[in-house]
Amino acid sequence: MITQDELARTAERLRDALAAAADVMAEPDAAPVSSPVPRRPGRLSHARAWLIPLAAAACVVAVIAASVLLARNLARTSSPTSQPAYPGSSICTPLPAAGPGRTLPRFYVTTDVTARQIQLQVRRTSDCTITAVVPLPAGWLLTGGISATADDRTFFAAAFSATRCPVQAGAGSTSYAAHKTRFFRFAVNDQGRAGRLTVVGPPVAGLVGPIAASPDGSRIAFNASDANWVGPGKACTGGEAEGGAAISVIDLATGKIRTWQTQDMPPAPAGTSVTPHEVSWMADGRTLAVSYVWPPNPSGPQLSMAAAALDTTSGGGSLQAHSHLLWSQPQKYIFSVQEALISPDGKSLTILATQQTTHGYRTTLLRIALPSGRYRVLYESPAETNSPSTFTQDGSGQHVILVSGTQAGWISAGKLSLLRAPDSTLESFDGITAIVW
Amino acid sequence: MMPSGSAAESLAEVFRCNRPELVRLGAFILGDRPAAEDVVQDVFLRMHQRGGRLADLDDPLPYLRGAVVNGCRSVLRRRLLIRRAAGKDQPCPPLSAEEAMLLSEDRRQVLAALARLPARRREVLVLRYYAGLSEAEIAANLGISTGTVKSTAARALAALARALKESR
Repeated sequence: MITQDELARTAERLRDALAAAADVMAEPDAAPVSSPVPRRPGRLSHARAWLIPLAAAACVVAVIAASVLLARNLARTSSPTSQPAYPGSSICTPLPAAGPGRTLPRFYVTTDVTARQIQLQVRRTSDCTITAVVPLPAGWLLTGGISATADDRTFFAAAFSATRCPVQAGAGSTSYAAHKTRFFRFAVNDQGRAGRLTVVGPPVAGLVGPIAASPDGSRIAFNASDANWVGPGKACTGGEAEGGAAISVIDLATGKIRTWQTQDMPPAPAGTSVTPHEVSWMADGRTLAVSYVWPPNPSGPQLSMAAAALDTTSGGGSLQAHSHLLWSQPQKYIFSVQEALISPDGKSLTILATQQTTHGYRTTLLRIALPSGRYRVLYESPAETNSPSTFTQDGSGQHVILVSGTQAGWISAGKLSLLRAPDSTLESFDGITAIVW
Repeated sequence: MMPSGSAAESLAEVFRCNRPELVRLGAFILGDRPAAEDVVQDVFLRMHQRGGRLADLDDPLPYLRGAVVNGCRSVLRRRLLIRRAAGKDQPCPPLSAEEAMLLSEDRRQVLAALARLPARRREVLVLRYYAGLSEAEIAANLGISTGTVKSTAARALAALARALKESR
């Protein structure tokens, strides 16, 4: 005999199980709506095989005739042709040609965080058209951003499941104990079509900061201590995850996680707590550049930044013991450095810095030669009000996309070539890369 | 009739916004996600062929939900025929093994018990407890009376509770 209580409990369990299953149900590639291709039942008989070349020729003639007719009609009416399933961009400056021996990235991925479900949008660099939309499962919020492999064909996202921003546990702190970050992966083919979104690697307690996929996609590095996250339509306040300041690397084949604690990192004064920021891989797939900041003096508002090269084949432990200093911000630097990524060959760092001028803040991208520290300016924005900025580089380290406020574009010859996309897809979130290639 | 440019664009937008939810609904009813994806694709293809007027509706979701439930019923009817004729019917589970791993054992048990219920009972429970529809809305979706929805839901929930009790 089933009691009313049991029925009520069963209803609650069912509701909960369906909601949870819907959350984890990875959304496969959404094929655009298109006309069906009629299929003939059965096989073409052998006796009529000679019709094939004739039919093919007739088709070619028909297509040419239709094209001519269509072109005439278009010239008369100037009306648009059939709409693509995913609208493209009317403003898209072509990516400048690559130098000899260099290939241009063909795709980049942006995030639409205002949608009810966070969506990852694959776009072609040649015309900015969206070629695929990959939604994260419902209820999963982006944390740690997105990352791409060196060949810009495999993309990763870090997310955690929640229906809203986590509740503040106390004044100025947030409890992450109940949350777990999962890593998602999808591949893109030569046409820009996306494959299935799959969960990879083990879950990670708490929320993670910026992530970086290794060049071959076999490992994911992440900042375990600088967690901001994005919910539908807004960025939630960040904080420090459980376990303190650390950098971790997951081996996706074995599921093993190695962690390096970031205390006492030179040149920060002994006993100073440093906060790790971005991580980026060198082409060897073994060396990870870790940038970190610390306050120059206890009362100073400005942060100092340095970057160290970590040997990820070490078994974990102290970052200081397994790394060497690559670069540190000179004491009288006029820039306030925000982000730093290493080039695949390890010969330079690209940094994003802001500079206060009499007309407001200016965002500057600099390339710093290692180990000399000499820099050259890649791009300097007009002085304006301070807006959050971030940047991403492709697998070669040569091509850079800068996001400043709600504008994004690639940098070439000191200029920012704007990419048009809905504002929500390009918004820059502190610590979260919303665009990658 | 093919939709005009703007109608096609609106239909594509409706498709993009509603497809995930409709696929899940179909997957829960059919217990088979690839089949649910086909059903949803068919629904939108039909709309596309009819000129995409769906976009004119203020809220197309109720209409689409009804169309998907009908599509699922056709699949279930076909399956019944196949099962009778050849004893062959291997639906894929709605969740991949990897996705299922993300669910607790308790939730997996609930979903497995749901999948074993007869189709009509499963439809009612999914529409009630996943889509969150009222009895009147379920009745309209399934083309049955509110009374039938009420009695089917009560029997389905009792059957589910019994199945879960026995599996303990």
